[in-house]
Amino acid sequence: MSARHEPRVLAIDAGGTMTDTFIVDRRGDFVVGKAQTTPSEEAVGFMSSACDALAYWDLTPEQAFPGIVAGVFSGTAMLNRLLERKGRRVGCIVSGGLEDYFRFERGVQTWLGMSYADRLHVITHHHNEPLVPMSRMRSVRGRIDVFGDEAIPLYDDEARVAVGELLDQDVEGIVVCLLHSYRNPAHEERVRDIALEVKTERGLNGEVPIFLSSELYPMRRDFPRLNSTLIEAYAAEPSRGQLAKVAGRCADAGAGFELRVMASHGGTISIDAKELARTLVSGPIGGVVGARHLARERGTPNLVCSDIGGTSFDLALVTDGEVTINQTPEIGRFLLNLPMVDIESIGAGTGSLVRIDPNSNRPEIGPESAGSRIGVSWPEGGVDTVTVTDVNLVLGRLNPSYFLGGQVELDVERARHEVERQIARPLGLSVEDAAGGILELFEEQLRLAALAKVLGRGYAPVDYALLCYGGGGPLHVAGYTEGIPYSDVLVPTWAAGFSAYGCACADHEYRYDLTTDIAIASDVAPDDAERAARELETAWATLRERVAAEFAKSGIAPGLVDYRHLVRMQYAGQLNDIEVVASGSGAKLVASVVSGFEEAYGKVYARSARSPELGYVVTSAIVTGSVPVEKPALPFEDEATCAPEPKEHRSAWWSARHGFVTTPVFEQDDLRAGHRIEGPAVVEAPSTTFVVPPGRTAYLDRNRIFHLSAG
Amino acid sequence: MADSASVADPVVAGRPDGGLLHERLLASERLFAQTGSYHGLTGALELKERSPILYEKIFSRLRGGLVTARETAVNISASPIVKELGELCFALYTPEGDSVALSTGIIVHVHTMSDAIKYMIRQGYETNPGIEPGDIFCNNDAMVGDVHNADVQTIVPIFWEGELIGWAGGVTHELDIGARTPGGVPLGPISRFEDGIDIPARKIGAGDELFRDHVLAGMKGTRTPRYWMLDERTRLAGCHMVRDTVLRVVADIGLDVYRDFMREVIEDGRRSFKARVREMLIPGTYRAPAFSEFTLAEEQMLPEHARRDSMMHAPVELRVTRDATLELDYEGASSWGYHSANCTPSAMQGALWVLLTQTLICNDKINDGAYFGLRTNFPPGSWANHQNPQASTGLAWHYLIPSYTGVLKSISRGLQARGFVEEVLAPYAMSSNTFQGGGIDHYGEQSSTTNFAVSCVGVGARIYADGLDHAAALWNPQGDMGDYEMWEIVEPFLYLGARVKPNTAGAGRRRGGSGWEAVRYAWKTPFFETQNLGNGPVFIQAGLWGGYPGATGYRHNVRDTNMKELFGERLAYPVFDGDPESSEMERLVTGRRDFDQRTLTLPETMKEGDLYLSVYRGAAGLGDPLERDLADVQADIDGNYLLPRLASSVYGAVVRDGAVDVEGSLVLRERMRRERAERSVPVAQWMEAERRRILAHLEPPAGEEGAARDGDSFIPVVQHMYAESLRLSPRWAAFFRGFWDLPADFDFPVATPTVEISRRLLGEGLGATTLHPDDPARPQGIPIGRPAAAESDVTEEVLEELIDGRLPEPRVRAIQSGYKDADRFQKYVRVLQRRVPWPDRILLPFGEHLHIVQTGDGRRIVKCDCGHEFRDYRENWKLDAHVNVRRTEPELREIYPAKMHGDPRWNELRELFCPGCWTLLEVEAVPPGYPLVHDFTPDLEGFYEEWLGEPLAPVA
Repeated sequence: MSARHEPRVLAIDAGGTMTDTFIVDRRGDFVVGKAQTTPSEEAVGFMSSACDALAYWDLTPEQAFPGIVAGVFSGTAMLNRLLERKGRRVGCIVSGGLEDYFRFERGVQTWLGMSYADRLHVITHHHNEPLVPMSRMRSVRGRIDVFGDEAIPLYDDEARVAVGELLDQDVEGIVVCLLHSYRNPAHEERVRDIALEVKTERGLNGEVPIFLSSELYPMRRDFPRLNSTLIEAYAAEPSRGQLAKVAGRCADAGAGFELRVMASHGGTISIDAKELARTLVSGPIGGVVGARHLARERGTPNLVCSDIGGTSFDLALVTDGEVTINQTPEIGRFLLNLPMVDIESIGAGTGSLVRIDPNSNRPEIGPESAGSRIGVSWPEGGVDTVTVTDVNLVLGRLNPSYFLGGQVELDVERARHEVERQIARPLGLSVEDAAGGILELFEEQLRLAALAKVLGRGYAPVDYALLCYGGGGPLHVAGYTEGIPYSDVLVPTWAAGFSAYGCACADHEYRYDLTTDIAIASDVAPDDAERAARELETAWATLRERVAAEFAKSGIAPGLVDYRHLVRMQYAGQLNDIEVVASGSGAKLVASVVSGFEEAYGKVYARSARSPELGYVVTSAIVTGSVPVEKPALPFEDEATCAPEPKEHRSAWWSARHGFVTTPVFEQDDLRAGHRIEGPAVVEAPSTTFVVPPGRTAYLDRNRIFHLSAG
Repeated sequence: MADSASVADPVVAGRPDGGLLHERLLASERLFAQTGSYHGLTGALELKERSPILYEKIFSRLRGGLVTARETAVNISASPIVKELGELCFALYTPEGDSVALSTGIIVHVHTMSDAIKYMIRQGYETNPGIEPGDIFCNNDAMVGDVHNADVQTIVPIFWEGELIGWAGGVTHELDIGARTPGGVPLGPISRFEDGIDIPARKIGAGDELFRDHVLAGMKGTRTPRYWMLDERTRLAGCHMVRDTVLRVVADIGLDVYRDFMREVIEDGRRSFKARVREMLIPGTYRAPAFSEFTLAEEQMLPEHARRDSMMHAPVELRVTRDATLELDYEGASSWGYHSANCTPSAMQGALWVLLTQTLICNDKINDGAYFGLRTNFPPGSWANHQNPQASTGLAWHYLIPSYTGVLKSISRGLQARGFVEEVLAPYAMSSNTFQGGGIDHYGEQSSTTNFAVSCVGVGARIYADGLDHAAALWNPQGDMGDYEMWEIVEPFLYLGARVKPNTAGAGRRRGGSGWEAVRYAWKTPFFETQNLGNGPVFIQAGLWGGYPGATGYRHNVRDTNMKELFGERLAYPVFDGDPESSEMERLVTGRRDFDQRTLTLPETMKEGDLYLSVYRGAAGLGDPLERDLADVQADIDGNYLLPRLASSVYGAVVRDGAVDVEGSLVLRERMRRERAERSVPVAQWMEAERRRILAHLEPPAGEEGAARDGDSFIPVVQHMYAESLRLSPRWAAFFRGFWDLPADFDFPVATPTVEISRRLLGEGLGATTLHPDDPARPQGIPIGRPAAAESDVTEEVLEELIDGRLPEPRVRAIQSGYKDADRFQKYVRVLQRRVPWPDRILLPFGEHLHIVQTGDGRRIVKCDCGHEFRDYRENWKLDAHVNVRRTEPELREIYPAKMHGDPRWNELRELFCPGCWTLLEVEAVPPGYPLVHDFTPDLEGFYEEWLGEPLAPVA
């Protein structure tokens, strides 16, 4: 890359060990910088990483930052603070008699996130260490019921005592979560007012923030709501300071842009946003957001997003240019109620362990993984069990001298010996058949998982293109799409950095959800429709105000915001709600959500399951407000006329039928738009390896995205 | 296929099957009976050996299809227990009805649906009403194949080019089943005609559509028609997805390969199961009798014949044969009764599945192969196999749960003896108290509910840690109490509080997992019938090696309360009940109060303002409580798991102002050991007195049923229990009379009317034992090789840290989740050998403190750490122990709060001590007069010579 670059977009992905910086210029060219993450002072790692990236273009932050129009941060610091229990000293006030919330954790959190075998294996279940010990749990008598009616008045004196006792323990924040406060926040607000009085009495004005669940996450389900509110107080607030420092460093370098943070709903929010816990999980979101951007830019509205890393295979769908939202995701063994892009994670990655069950003599792949320790082929990693990477190496699909661009030299012989000892001999197969078989089995599992994602939502693969990214994606994508009639298979040349790229593609967007219980009869009368529409519009108005208030913090006038109104709806009595976009007003509005719901439901759950006679319930009202921001343009280059030249040939295994075949190996940077690679072929880049089996063809388009096709 | 040449039956050869299903089923059963292998596959599994990868791919695809079907279908359901708590499962069956693979979910039903399919085949459904492509069948009849009516199954045949190639089945648990009393586990029925909607394997649809008459009838039959209808759609949609998967697979691999695969994967499952048994356990006989009660004597609304109390006797005997078959024998079980807790063999198998899949075989590859690796005896006429077309099964779990704690306990003894200490679990808690009822809800509508928070009771103590608190249930390891806000949508009762209930957990060196309690406040309802459902007078099962049983419970409900006055004046209202001896509900609220141990009652009406208490039980402990770390005692007090006032009498911990005084406690513990010597008597002496007490029942005064000559006779319910077992089982009768040296015709002077009914119904079949410990005709199956040695980093040092509870829990979990080390037994024995002060060679670990050793003079005996020698290991060491029986309220209240222990007239706690060091070695919770339990008789020769391949040193 040469000539003058004018950086326009900056995206930072601060992982647990490395911070990646992704910088895009006016033409859509981009570079990726890397530096060690510095957890105690994230701004330091960020600046080193940004310098590293800009160095490719011979630029300094001071030269580059003033021209940048959009900066997006995503990181795992908040999640780590949570997992390592290094958050703030928080006290909780809950409804009378419910101080044991975190000890009970509903039971479900004792097995959440475990493998299927361990979910059955009860002795492995265990409680999490509570974020708030019993000594800082307080409860206050008083009850609101499911209708929002006051069943028992709030016992003010108890609230006063509770606040006082928590302040005596020097808490750094107080979380208030009372039953059914999403419906009627009066009791929570009363507790807050009392807390303010007590703080004033003690001269603590402006200190010890109070977090109300009804204000932050007004969604039904008390335990996830309590968790989310607590995480806001416990882990998110400390992040605000760190983010402010990053923003400060940017400003020092002359940046004029507002640093935003990637949030789990797939948009970016200000670091001053009220609900910062929404940014708890942002890394994996980036890839899906990038996919959505591709879908919109390229006019391929339906995409299966597949991401293979060292430990997992992550799947998500983009349908009609939109992502699916899960309102009660599980993160780090916590049930939360913050809207999050629905990503399914399967314990199958390039580091997955390959073992033969000693009792059944049947092969098992994963879910345990060697993670970043690669496999037996890298003795320094200390892994004794064969991994998927080892199998690829034995099969000649990976280049032992070019792993991570040659930073790590892999030992093929050791891999072969261990595959023979651990797998081939027990199965009674040759090393090649064993390694090839494991590869097929691994890709078969991925293929089924991806297909299930599409079929499970009632769609057909011909309506979807499959997009693959992540370091391990290009190596296996041919295998896990084999024989499935996806409309296209897309492999961006920047697959390994796609998540960071995706962060740069996110709009500035807020999303607010509010639990409602608006009934719509199956045979809706006009009066009834008007009533339902009025209730909905009231809820939306509240949410719109909140969106506007958040944008105001970034100095964005309400008029510039693009609002979308949505509902989540279900058949009355059913528990599974579906998100539907609404339009119109009055009776038309109601008719539009009903028909939208019926259509979506029929698609997902087969027409036979439709139950319109039950009537409907709008379970929540949702408003999203977004402001478009500059995003990276897709790479664009003219089609080459010449044919590509392989850099070398090596022997690689392709299938039981083909066995080992002398295969041309291309350097990805040597390939130009318009090049068509006939399989068998291997395309290598420092960060990833893309394989094209016999009978498949990869065509590199002008956006530097490969299209993998049959024949 | 291998060996097929010798078998003429075309079914075996895997050629186009053809023929009537019934004939194929009989052929398959005959082959199993003849060869001991599924479908006669006695040799190599050809497809698996030839194409291990293809074999695995087919499995992945089928299993993946089942999981996806479940994940998708679950969203159609409305019922909170299906949608939120996952009470849903799908499985795929062979044409003969054996399961090939199953989804995630409630796996209880994998085998129950197998029974239902086989029933349809045996009854000739193929010709009438016909089994055609597109047909839909439904079953919820326990006699056909189910646990209870609330578990409703949809079964769909799968055809390929006109040939039936399998079945897809799905099951959901219904929130209400239209029984005599509301809910999914109704306790009101006293006969099957009150169990609710009854569909004994009927065709309910054709052409992939449900018959309209079936749908309408179902909706009329339940109090929650909406859930019924949507659950029906859930099951059907899932079955159709499973069918699609199978058809795709067959299209891909061809029918012949698919057929070979089905057979092989089941035989593979059978062999893997046996290999697992051989890897983890010790051959021999394990015994862990369990008890439970059903109390209806005070229910004035019931007809007289049902208005009585009964005591369930589950004489659980588990045998592991030398060929690694697991045999479960309930010989001696008491009779079925006029209540809703009767079980069918199908239910018994289902519960066994649940237990095995959370202990020995927790993986995704299980199928009916495991069933073929098992043998069971559920005696006809007993509660475990009632065989009575009129008996109710609505609340089968009320007996299943206690009885299967005995199976868990037995497996744990084997695991410990084998050295797999990380897997040992003391018995679970009883799943109670279930909040269940129906009436007018807060929307003004008629409704019904079963609150599944009861899936979060205590799990048993572990060797390396206390039991898991308030988190799972025997019938569902993936426990979840749900959100209070979600239950308040369904139930017109507010949660006034939910918190840890002190002293619910059974005491021990490691205590059981704790229970909890919830106070509910009836709100916006003019009437709602609620029941009490839990164990009160009876401890279901003692812990392991000195661990006490989890507490029983009590009911505490208050009607016509002054709650609203309390609110008005902002006076405290109860948010918990706490210690029943200083009850919060009693202290704070006035009203009409039911506060007693009548923990099982028919529904009673409550209305706005009334209070209901759910006491969720705790699990059993492990080890001598006097060996509990004092820091753990302190943590229990701090955490509200232990009432300070009981810390000294249970744990020998001196507590001052909430703080454990370590010095004082050590002194107290020493004194308590001495007191054990004073309070206990030699077992022989106790047996003498006990025998006299039993014999006194021989000649009752005329006309007075159940009375003995002296005032020390057993209460009638206990006598009934014994009489039922004695009359149903000659084998158990011989054992009982033999143990106490009673006359050959000894019996209790009580009538057992249900036994008489069974006698008429079953004739010769009554008392027929389907499995006898000395049965010589046991099929051998194929010889099992030693499992391949898995690589392991569980060194002896790691093992020591594990035993002592010093190994970090993530490391323990990694060991639990990994493959087992093949030389664990040898390592464990070496570790134990280093820890004992004497030189005798340990032959087998035998629980905490005890070992089977070979003495210098060549005897093989049970020996305590302290050096005390018990008798030959083949006899019961307890005969040489000292025993203290807690059979009065004050004695029991040294361990449990009032209202939280068994009724000493129903059952007693026997503490068995080592006469050398006065360590508490075992606790028994059994009815008075019960023979001393001989917990474990290992087959030492079989284990050493056949399993380990090492000679057992010859006895001098």
